[in-house]
Amino acid sequence: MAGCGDAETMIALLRRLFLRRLFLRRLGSQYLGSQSLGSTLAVVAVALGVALGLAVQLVHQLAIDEFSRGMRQFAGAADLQVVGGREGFDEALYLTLARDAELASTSPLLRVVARLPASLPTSLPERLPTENETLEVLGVDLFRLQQFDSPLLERHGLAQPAGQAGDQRFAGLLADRAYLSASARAMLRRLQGGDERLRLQVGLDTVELAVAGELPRIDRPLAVMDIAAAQQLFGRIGVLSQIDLRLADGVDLHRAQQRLAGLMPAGVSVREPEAMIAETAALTRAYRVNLSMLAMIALLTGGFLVFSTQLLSVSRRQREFALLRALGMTRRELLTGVLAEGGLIGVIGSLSGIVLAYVLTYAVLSVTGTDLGAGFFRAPLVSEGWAMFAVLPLAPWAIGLHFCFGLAAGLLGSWLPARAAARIVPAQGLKNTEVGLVLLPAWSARSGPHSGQYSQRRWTHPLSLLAILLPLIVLASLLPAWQGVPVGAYLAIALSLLLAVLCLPVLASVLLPALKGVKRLEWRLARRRLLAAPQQAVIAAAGIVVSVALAASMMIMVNSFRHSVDDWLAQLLPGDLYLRAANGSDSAFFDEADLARIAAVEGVTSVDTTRQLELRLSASEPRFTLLARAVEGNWGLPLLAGQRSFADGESLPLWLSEAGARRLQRGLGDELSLPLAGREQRFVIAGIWRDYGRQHGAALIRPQDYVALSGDRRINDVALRLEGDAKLGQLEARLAQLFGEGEVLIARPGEIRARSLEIFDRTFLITYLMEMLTIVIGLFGIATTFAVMIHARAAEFGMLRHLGFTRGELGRLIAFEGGLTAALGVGCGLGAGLGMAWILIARVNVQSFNWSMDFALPWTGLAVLGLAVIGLAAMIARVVAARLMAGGALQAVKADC
Amino acid sequence: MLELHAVGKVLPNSPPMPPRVLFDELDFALAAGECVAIIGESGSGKSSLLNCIAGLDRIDQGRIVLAGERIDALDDDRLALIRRHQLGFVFQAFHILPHLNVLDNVALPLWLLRVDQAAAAVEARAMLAAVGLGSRAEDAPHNLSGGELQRVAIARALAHRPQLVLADEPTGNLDPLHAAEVLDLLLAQVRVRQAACVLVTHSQRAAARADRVLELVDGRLRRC
Repeated sequence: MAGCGDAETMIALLRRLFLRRLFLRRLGSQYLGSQSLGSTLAVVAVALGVALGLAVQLVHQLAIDEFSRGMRQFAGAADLQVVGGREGFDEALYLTLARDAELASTSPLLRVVARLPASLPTSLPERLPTENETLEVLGVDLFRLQQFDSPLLERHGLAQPAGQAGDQRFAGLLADRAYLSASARAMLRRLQGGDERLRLQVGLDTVELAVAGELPRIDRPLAVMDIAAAQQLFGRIGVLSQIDLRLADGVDLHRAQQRLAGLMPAGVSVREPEAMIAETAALTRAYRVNLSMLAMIALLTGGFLVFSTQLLSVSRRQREFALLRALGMTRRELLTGVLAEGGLIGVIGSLSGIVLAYVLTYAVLSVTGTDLGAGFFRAPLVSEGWAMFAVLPLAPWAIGLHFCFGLAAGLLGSWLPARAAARIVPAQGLKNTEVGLVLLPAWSARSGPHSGQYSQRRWTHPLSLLAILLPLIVLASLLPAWQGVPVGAYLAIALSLLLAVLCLPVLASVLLPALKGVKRLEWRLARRRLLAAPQQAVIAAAGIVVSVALAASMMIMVNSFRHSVDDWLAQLLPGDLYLRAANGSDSAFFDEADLARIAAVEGVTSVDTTRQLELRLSASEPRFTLLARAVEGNWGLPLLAGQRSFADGESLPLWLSEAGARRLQRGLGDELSLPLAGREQRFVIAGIWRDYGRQHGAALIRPQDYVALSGDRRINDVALRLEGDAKLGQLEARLAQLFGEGEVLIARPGEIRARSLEIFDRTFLITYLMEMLTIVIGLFGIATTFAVMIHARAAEFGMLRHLGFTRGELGRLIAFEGGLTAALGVGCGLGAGLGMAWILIARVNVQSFNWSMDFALPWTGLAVLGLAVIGLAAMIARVVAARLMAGGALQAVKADC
Repeated sequence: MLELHAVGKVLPNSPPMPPRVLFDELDFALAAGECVAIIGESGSGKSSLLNCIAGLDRIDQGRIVLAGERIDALDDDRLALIRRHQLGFVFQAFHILPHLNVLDNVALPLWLLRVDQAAAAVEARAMLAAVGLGSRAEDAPHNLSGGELQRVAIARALAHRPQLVLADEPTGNLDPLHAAEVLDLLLAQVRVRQAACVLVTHSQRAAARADRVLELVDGRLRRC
């Protein structure tokens, strides 16, 4: 009971002396000074860090929830699923499985992503790249589907209840009609101006289906029709995409899966329905992890802001704390009190961040959908407007974790100020002399105004840390990825940030003496001050170091990536004009007759084709892209290793993308088997090429080899070379006329490059926003640290005013100190940013996305970033100084007496 | 050298309390090279008067004339220049910049006057020698005792040869032995440099060393 009473007393003490004050004076409206602003900004910074991190998780959770809900709507009660590549597999497998004694029921399915021929412009730049012009069409066997309790068959769904008029009972079996989900009907109304007829592109022709009814409880755009009708309509007779399996009673799932796997032809797998969800989550993991890491760095910068505002608060309350100590408060109680304040800032920041995360998620979903701007999830949202809040996931684990992150930022940010408060000597504190030095960390506080003796100490401390940290950074960056996440590389980035902050005093010791030549008095005093008190630079510029390092590394990485993508596109598209049957559609394609028509167009000198399809190499691997096209001519191949020509008459050549080579761990001269037409076909790797289009790998084979092995003569893309004097505009018009307005996509290589880079920039938009945010937080750090410094040195500035310093000269002195401090931060930040960029490019990107890129430094951007931060910091320091010193020099000097 | 004519200053108070009259119709004159001590009870307005003379605080009525120039109506920057050229300060709490060494602290007023650094160092060294700290020029301030720091402050106050030195409780932080030494030094150096001096102090003993002693009572100066 006594312990309980003690705890209550302690809590009451903390509440009265610390927390109440934090609420009323620092966060409330009673005191709208710099202290209030700093504390509020600290809360905001923590909230933003928590919100960004949590929002990434919420958006992803929602995407996965939607995906898995959609998947379950079709899988119904399936125990296992047989899945193949996007092109499907021979339906003979279905007959084998239907006779299997261990399977109670089987349900075949054909999935085709069909193009909706809308009146869209033909020219690529005029259309949005993600504009949904395709519709997923499922061909199902109604009678088989009934055995799987599929929601598709619910009331008002495909199976009409008994007693309906006879001509409607089997409407689902009719070849010329389809059932649409509500969102598919909405899409039809938007794209085709009505929802009574569904027009789909097959090859380059358009077919029409009647809309027979609406599918219940289906969230995404979807059309469902009879499987036989779908096979016929899309020219896929004898082909299935998936077979759902239900096991007979008493059959062991895993044993059955193992046995059935032996029956599967090449490129076809049998797996549990949930495997698809895991595969989809794995697709986005690298992108999510990278965004979450950015959010964590924002939170880290917020932690620095908590540190500087708490330091300011402790600095101002030094007399109060000295009095409390004189009255009998223990160091531990004082430490606990200041930590409790930091904890409260963390709690308020976390709670606000959690609310903000939901608002942010709503905003992100409204703008980019669930794909976070990266294009992983194409499905539009289920709900719109305020109703969207209802579908946002609760995610208690993610909320709990991010709450803890925010709390930790508050507590860790307050640790040093709390220790400084606990170290206050009552006698000195009451006199309030040397206020600044008392509060600074012990290792740096020892360094006084003179160089001699303690310059040795200044060097030793960071250098010994350098000797420890540098090898650790190298070792961590060399660690392999853990479950696809470059944990070692991220650890190396965190250590690099720490090293950069610790290098600040070293840089100050090296750089500041070199600036001795400047005669201006304010400059000389500012330089001497920083040289004598490098700890001020550490405290003030730590936030700048972190934010500049982050921004610089991202700038270098994004610039390198953009430069490499541009270069890759230039090599990939050497032709004059490119034609595509449809974006992301299985139903639209060119045939040989179309090709002949294109070749006959006046001005066309050569035509090269591409057939693109997705294969499944194993049950656990995501789909793998196969391209059948020439390696020279109107298509380019950005080779990293190997050669374009292949002389071995016995083996078939294959050029593997860099991502494919890394994922499959194959090199030049190795063999690779691909499932084509239900058989494993062996190829020899003749080259490794750079490919930024397909993260999970791609292989390129010669078109003649593909046709010989598969018999498939369909074509997705066509590249043209034109006569030297042919006018592109006229030729585009002729081609558009040939196929009909809006039927095919026609684009020049420059347009494709411009559009691709636009998509690239949009993908990194969220990254740019987070970078800017951390820089703003870093500048707040400068503002609050200078508020601490000016408050601590009020007497010094007051004395200078007595000696004849004008306000302007004092303002310039502080601006120089701010600018110099920021310059040191920018120097360390840029150095760390360069190292971090190398880690991002050579380790994180390779381990996360399996692709490499060339190192390209954005000199102008980095210079602008550095100068802007220095200029802003100088300006902020001066503004803060003007505000804080408005009271004049008298009180400052008098307060010290 | 310094003239105060009918100077008045009122301190605002929180309502309903009436404003407090700090000094009223205060007249005072100080000749070049003269040293006057101002004594008075705590809160009598001694330091405020010193601040008004230095142009760091504004008066509400009257005129202040320093070296023939009326300063009470000048703007802030002009007042700063007057302090830079004509005034020297000695504070109770020393106010030595911790990041400059002793020599640079003394040279600081000369730097403000844009004196060449080498010349400023020569002058500062001479001043330090005069206050008995010639051998401590390169030391850091934290290595000096309180008495030594105040001697540095005296050197700094006189380094640029001001016409008027304002000393606010210059011995307030020192023990009696050091206080006497420092006061002797201050007055001696002021006289050597032919500067005038206003010494604000609580100490009757210290005040007795001045040419004249005035007491600030009820807002008026009274000769003791």
